[in-house]
Amino acid sequence: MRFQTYILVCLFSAILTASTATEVRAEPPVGREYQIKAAFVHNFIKFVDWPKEKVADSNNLITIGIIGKDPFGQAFEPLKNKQANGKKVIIKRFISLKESKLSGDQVEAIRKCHLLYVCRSEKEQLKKIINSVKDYNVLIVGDMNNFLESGGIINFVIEDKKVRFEINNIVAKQAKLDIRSKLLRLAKKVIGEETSDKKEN
Amino acid sequence: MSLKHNLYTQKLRLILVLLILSTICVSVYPSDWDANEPGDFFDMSLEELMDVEVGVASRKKSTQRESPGIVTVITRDQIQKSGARDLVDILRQVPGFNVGFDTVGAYGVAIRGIWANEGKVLVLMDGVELNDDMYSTFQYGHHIPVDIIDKIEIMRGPGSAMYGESAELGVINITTISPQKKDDIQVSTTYSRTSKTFAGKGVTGFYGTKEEDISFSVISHYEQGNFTDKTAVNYDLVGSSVDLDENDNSEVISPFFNIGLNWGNFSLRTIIDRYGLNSPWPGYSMYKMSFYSDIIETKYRWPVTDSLAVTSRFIYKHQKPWNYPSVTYSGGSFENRITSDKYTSEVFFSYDIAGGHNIVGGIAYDEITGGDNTHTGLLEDGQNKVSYYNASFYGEGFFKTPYGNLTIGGRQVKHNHSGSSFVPRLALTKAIGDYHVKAIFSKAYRNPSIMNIAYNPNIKPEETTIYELEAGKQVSDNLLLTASVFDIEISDPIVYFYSGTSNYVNFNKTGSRGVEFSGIYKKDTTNISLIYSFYNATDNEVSEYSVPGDGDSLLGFPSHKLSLYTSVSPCKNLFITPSLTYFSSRYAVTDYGTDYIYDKLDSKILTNVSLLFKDAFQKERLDMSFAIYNIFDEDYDFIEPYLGGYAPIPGPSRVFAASLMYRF
Repeated sequence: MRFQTYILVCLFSAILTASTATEVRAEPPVGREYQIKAAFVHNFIKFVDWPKEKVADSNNLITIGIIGKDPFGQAFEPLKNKQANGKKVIIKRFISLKESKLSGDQVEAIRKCHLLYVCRSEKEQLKKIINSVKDYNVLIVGDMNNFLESGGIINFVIEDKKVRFEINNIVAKQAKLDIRSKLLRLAKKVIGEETSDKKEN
Repeated sequence: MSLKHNLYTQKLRLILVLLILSTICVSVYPSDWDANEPGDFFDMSLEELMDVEVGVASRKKSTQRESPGIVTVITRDQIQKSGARDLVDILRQVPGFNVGFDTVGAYGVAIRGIWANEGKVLVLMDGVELNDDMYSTFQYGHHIPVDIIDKIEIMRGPGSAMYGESAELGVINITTISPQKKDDIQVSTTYSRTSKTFAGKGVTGFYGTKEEDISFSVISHYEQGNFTDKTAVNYDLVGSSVDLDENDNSEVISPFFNIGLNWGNFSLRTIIDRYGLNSPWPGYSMYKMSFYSDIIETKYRWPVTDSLAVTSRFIYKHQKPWNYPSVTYSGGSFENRITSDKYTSEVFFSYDIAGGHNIVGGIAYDEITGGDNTHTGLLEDGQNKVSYYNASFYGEGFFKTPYGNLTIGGRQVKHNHSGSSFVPRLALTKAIGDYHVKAIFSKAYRNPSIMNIAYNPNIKPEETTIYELEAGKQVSDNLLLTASVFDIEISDPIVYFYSGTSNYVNFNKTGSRGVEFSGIYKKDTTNISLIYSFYNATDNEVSEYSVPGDGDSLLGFPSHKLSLYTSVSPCKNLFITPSLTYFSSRYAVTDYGTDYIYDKLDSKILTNVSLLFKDAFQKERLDMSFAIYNIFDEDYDFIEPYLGGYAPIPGPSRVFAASLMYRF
């Protein structure tokens, strides 16, 4: 009798689970890795100073742009209720250059971003994107090979299952962005100044 | 019912369960929980974010301040800087954890004053249970190689509802390193000695490789150690002494292998453990005791949708724990060659709901058999074996509410030999700015193991009720303070009882109450950790644990423990970590006249210092460390915390150690 009861419980669980599986609402994918990277991005804003003219143009907003196939899903949702450097943070998403050419308005909108996250889908268009924003004080962030060498400013890497980041401070200075020493110190690699003591371990 | 019919029914049951599991193909072990609570990451500093893992998600990993448990996390960096040699050293850094012995040389743990080594603390490595199934124990001294540990999470409270068997008072969850690139190789070696003899020597190798969605790793370890270099005087309470420094009398050996394969959503892990030690038999002779364990786990994780994670898991364990050859005495001889086999199937799902809510749930089924053709101590229906099954289903919901994060769940378990248990769990956690609070109510259980049943077929499960409260403050980006209080009451505790022969008995109740404090400071290369814990025995009616004349104490463990670890870096790549642990006075049985004679042992301070040269000579290749343990050569004894027939056994004198780790 006990055995039959147990089997019934197993079957009931199986049916329940299977039915749950079919009724699940498809939430946008929010991988843990990108939840963490989103929080890093939020922290980056606190440790970067933009030129006064860029700040003056921004209407007390910090704009994060995401271009390409967005891996963040809802990861930035909690920022709705948070501020960075006393400013409200807004997220703007831009379609992949693979799929369509950007309109003039879209290019302007990208140039107004404080931080532009270039998704991996844009690897082939990376240099084109970087060239289009290089004179507009945009902090260019991504997570792909040779990102810094291609003109990106902060690149995410995974090391020992943890998120680390690298900085190209030369490009940052060209973009008139002042990256504070704490961020440089925590970076795994810094191209440009302060490379000698970038990592105390 | 005949034996043949029993076997047939068991096999049929196993096959049916496996079929059901493979049909629905749903299971995730608790270590696979995915928090998916992005909001919590936004409350973290950069330094905190850099400590968060992306691979294996766990609610407590991502939101330690709001996790529905009291948790201590010890990282690889902390282990390396502290110079910890084994789990005994590591657990000294954990509030409420102490070490005693369970047969000379076999060290076990107590949690919050209560001897937990038999069936009350679950030890996991990469999600695989390492406890034996004979007594549900684990041996902590010179056993697990520390060089391959990536992190240890220690749940200092009950984990029965989610983890099941052996998690009544705590869970020790060890995660090993994994390959980060193609042909990732690490080799390490260590040597340590006292003024009289070597204390430990070992070599550990790690090979891992990773390409696309395949990774493979092999950990191999061999260690030979001595658990003391001193003489145990009157160790058997009736006059016998043994020089444990001579003739390998305190020898411990630990060959250990852990092999893992991940291929997409499929994973396979094998652990082969050949731990052994020498121990004196009371009044007779030294004998070799072995703890062999072969474990294989297969797991398939199926992401059904973006919100529903599903996996299947099957584990087989074959063990020969606490085995020893024939020990001769005046009444004849005694030996233990008992083996055990355990088959585990588990079903688990994890479902994320919009808004940061999460539901996990599953079913688990264990078939366990212990037997010995030469030993007549395991009699059941005329056979030299004990067999039983555990079947359980469980679930837990994590909900974000305006009043805080609410966790509600439980487990219903059926032990076919000893009865059923239901253990609910309820937790409310809330972070308000820099402050956080946790209120947790849990029931937990311990089911009888093979030998509990063999010695006493009428043994019942024990049941525990635990209340925990924690308050904390993130004082700054660098400093976190937490304080907690707990109250534990164990009903029908299963206790080893010796009265001419060994037996296990359900006593009426025991328990403890106390406080724990932790202060963690991290800034740049400076790390300071201060922990303090205190317990008071409450309602203890177990004579085997009690101290005559002091109802506030339990045998073997100090009421107060304080540890201070300070790691500083005076120059690049050099880390100096002095540490000390204070133990208040402890009670031990030291002699036997017409009855047991108890002594109060003085309080002790054990002091260590470790020097680590990281990236010595060659960047990201070579680490060298030197350490001195028990600098002031204190006489610190390990105590058997129940009336088992042994007096305290001396710990080692001052130890000097050197180790090298090289990464290719």
